[in-house]
Amino acid sequence: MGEEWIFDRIRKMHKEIERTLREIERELFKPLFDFEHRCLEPLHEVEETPEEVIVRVDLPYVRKKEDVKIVATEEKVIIEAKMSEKALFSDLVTYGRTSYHMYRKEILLPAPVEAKKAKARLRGCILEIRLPKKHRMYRIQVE
Amino acid sequence: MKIGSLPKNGIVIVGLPDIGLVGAISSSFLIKTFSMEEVAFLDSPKFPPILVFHDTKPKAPVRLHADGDKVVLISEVPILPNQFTPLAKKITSLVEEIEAKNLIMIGGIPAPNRIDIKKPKVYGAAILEKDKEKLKEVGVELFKNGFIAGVYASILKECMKKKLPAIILLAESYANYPDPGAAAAALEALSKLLGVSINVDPLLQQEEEIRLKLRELMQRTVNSLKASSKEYEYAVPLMYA
Repeated sequence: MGEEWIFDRIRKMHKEIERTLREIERELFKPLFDFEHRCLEPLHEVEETPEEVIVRVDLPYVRKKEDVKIVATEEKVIIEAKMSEKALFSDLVTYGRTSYHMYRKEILLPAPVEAKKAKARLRGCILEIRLPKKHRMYRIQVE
Repeated sequence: MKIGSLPKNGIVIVGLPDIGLVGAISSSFLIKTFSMEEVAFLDSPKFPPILVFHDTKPKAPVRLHADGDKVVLISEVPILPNQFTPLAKKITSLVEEIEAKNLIMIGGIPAPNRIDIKKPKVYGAAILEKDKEKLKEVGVELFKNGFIAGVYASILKECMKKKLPAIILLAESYANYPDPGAAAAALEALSKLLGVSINVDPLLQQEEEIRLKLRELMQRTVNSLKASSKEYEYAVPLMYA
């Protein structure tokens, strides 16, 4: 009975590792487009500072801020953007030999944020969203 | 690989998928611009089982193209860490065999403020002193301190062991997005180094299309870079302290 909790813990950890690996695999092999909705998935990066979560998304052909729609909750941001020109993939069978004119990306954030206080800017077709963290760090004076 | 079809005493230019795909974009642009003919391809059991078709023609993803005395090595797939050393040895033996005047690698160096940089700066590093002088003569600032990691580090290390005339051009670049602007800056430096005119305007005009169409290669390259000690490039070397 004494050691049962260790095996239980190992089983749980094993399950968690398997789930993470499955997620990584899904992310690696997922195509960067959604043929049904004619949407492309943009490249993105997420940076975390003590105060903020910074999301940057590469949106070639998105030139006007009015063409970008951002929705955020505490845990994620959803970005939709319209391109100023259609991207043609007429020779590529895997892309459905068609054109795409939208981007869509849902990004899970590494920490809870105050979505209401988020700010965004579009520069050179790169969208930068700065989301203040919900649980911020406070400086403690050394006496 | 048919070494005989490669020019003796030529210049070997290597542009592989790496930071910002600077090398891959540059080599692809050079091949298209100068209509360089495919002269050989590299294959290995360690390469992924991939074949690419261009205008109905089957091609190996890692190829050598040549025009006059210039040879360009291109890869349409990321080079995985277990392929670094064999590839580095193959490239250096090729450089020795054709007695190449120079081996010039083109890559990117991550710049955290890239979004604010209009014209990326290009840094150069070389194995031999005479090549460092050459870089200085054409106004390329030398890469003084810092780590270079990944496939180019393996090639440079082999060149260092054999004292080969290797040069690397590193343009300030986005780390995780394809960066044709950085490739254009690197090609301008290459143009000065070779004394050959390279018009990079078409590359800049196609910037958005390249960024959009190379998303998959960039994503795969970022994943392979994570496994190739690339994080070292952000570190301060011990001897710098």
